Amino acid sequence: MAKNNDKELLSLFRDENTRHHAFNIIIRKYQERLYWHVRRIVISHDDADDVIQNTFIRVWNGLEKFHEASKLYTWLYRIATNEALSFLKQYRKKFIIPIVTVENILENSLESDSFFNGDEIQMKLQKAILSLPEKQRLVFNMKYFDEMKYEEMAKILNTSVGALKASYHHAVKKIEKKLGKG
Amino acid sequence: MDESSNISPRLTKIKRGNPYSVPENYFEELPGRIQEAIHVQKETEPVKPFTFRFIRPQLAVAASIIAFAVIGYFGYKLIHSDNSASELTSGEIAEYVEYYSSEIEEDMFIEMLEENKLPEADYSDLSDEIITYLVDENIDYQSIIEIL
Repeated sequence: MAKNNDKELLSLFRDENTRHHAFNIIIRKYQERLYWHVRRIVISHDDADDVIQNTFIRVWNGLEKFHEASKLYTWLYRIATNEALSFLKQYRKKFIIPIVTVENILENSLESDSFFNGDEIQMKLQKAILSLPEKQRLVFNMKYFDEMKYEEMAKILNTSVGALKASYHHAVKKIEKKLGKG
Repeated sequence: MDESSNISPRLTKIKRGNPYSVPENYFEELPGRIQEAIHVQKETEPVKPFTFRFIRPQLAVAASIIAFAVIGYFGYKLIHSDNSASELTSGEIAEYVEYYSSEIEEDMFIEMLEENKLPEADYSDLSDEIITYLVDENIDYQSIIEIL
């Protein structure tokens, strides 16, 4: 079986007898890329683990109705992004008075993360990324780390290529400024 | 090198690697844990009986029709109710008058009395028995007669 072919995987998923097997292959194929995307949004491994599990549960529940209007990969990425952003939104709701912001919490997670292996300058970069507005942060991560094309990002984030380019440009300038400080 | 290199000399110097890591065997175990979570979800999902699922739309239609019929019936009763004064007790009338007395004008009252004229009062046969009763009860019957 050409297990990397999404079309074949989807047709296997639609068959009751091969559904679990097909889904297992889909998870193995995409789990790492989706996990790292989510991890950069929520920072902590435990939170990323929760989000990625919820993502794949949603995928399981919705895959039968997926009509291939977009690529499977794009659809999965969109679900993972939405799950991660919803997770942060729930966090925000907990703090009505913004003495402690979600960004503060994420920065604390980053500093105390035992699964962060970067050096000092990488830590500084991550902190600079955390200081960006949410959308810019998302765009920066997808472009800089995932090296995703703007056209692909536009499909996932449901926005225009021009807006994404502008967001990325602003993000880079702000990060550069932050890196230049002390 | 991407288009940001011109505006980000510091950023381009940083190693573009992934600074994060995961626990050992995390990606080997993740598919199994996800399948397990899906299995648990399926088991805990409340299963509706087939017959209920099948007749649910019909039940909804029937409930809507009954609700419309009930609302229509009571609406009709309310609009066409003939709550005439003849069905009211004297107590209810007194209560009504007391409550709305400020809104009822004296002239209107007199007019109503004129229309439904009562027979003239005849106090000539005020018997001794009644006068004795009033005296016994310490009621000043003279003043009553004067008023009348």
